[in-house]
Amino acid sequence: MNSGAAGCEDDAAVPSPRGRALVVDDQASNRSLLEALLVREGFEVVHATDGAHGTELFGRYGADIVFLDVLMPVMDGYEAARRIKDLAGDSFVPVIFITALSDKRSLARCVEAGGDDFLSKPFDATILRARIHAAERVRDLHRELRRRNTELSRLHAHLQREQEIAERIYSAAVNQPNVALDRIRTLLRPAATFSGDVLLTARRPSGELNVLLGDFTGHGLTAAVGALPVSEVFRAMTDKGFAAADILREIDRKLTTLLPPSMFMAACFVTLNPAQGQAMIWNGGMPDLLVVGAHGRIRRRVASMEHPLGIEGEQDSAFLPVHVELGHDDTLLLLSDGLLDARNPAGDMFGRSRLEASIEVDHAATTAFDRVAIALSRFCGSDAPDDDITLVAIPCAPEMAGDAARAPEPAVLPQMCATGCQWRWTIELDADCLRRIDPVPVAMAQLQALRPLDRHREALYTVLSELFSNALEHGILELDPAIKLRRDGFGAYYEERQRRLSELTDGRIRIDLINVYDAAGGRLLIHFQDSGKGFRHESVCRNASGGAGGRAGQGIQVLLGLCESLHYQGTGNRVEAVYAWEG
Amino acid sequence: MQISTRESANGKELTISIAGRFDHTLQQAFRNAYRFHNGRPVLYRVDLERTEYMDSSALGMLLLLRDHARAGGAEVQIRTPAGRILEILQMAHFERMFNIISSPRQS
Repeated sequence: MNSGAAGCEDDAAVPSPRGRALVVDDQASNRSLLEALLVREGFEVVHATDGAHGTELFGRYGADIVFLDVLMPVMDGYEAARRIKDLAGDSFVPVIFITALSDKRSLARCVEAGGDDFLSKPFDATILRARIHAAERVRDLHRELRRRNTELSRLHAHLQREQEIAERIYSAAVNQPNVALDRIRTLLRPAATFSGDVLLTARRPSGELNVLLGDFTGHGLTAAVGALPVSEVFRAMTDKGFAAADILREIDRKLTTLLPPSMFMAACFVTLNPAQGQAMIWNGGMPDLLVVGAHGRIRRRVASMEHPLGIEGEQDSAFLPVHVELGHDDTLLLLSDGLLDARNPAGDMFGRSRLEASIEVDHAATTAFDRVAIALSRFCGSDAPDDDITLVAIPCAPEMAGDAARAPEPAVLPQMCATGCQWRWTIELDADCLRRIDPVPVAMAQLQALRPLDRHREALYTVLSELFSNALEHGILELDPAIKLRRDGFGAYYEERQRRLSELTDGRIRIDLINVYDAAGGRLLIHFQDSGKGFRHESVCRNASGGAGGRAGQGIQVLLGLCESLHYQGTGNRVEAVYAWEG
Repeated sequence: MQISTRESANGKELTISIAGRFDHTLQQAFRNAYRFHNGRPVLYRVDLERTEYMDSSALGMLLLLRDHARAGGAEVQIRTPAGRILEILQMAHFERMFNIISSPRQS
């Protein structure tokens, strides 16, 4: 190989800053002429005498720019150009034809063979310089593009890995604590790694099931990250026995603070009480929830009643759920709008009609959930959806009723107090407070903080709820329990309760909890006092023990079962229950 | 042009029309339509007559316009034909936050 560099061997060893030029020409005079010009431009020059030789040298040593004569023995310039371009692969190596030919066909062949430019003989130094500059510009652009692509691929792979880790953490925080998922059917097809749809389930202290399906604006990571605080609030408050309206209000408050103004979360909230065959349902901005009965019939739709959560400047929602009667054959279907908007390859949307048509089929072998899933799959094919798709089916069968959730560890672990030691806790609510505050979860929070009372939370929650219910609904609001016995009575009773409570101007309820420790554990004295007229407690208590007495009697029977004693005082507006507990 | 704007002669009204899909890809363009507007409109009209599809990001964009309008003491009106777009707005109960005017769909 002729190095071609003029001067001493030292120059030959050091590569020129401008790179290596490969000159392929069968005539020595042409080669020397071009070499001299190229050396002046700062190139290290390598030459070959024909196409085959040139290709071989390129394959072995590479080059930054190639000059090819067209007419050569053994292998001509066209073939050499093709092979050199092939060898160069993804790299861009400028190939410039040197030609004495001037006819258009020959010049066209040069370009077709892969040549980037052509230079006519005799050479002009200025033109050569310009052509080299142009070729180098293209080459440098190409190199920069490749460099950026490599960098992009690297960053993308890094991002993917980060997302996978984040997804695991998210899943653990949001999804893992969910309960009853062995019975609740779910179809989850997110548009990306992270779904902007969130499904949360948790049990109340009395065993009812709370379910929240939320849909954040957009999708992907930015949509999903809002689910973390929502999950925390939902679980903590469900666990303490807060009502749906209170939980939704707190989530709304939290999201309004956290999310930017253009983001919000549409949601539907279900409190399922399968034992009593009813559910309380709230829908803010989601598609209709469907109650599907036997034979696929859609018995009822619960439409959106208020706007979504987390919208700034709109804190006027009441968050009051509606009451729905449910049979054991019924299934509640919840869905996000991604399902309705799912498109087929032609661009049509799945839509409500197709959804309801797939549900309302009298086919005992399949469930409504299955039919929707199959219809959707057939409609859309396997393409990734535009928006997160979620479908949830909650059966209303009695097996859905569960035990209360395991109690969380109390924050404070005090020493067991000595015998005779006691503490007292009081809360008194006037009418304004009664309209806004449910004191039962507040009282429960106090009790749960102290061991070993936390182990009795289910029983204590039942006792406190029952006594407060009586005090508020019978004592203050003067509701007639007989309403419940009517058809659709629970719904009517609940609506009347809400109405009277919202109009309440007078009334007070006072709760005293006095805990006395003894050798075995202790006794919790639970004292309720309301400003109402009272009731004929003697007759109700008599009837309760005798088995009759209707709703009021049932409640008292539960209390008698859990408490050591139960005494009504005054006109019946004062009651003391004693709960004995062992530590 | 997916988003086009039209100003009334007296500069008091700005109409923003959206054709086709109103989704997150229009975020920047929609904001630019009103943010860099020189006048001080009293009424912003969002024309969804030729909008084929709207997602929750679009609802979010409308909320941003509302905030911008409020800051300048202006109102926001949404014009849409009856149909899927109106259903989406009603599901989110945006009629409580915007003046929504619907017209029967032209055949």
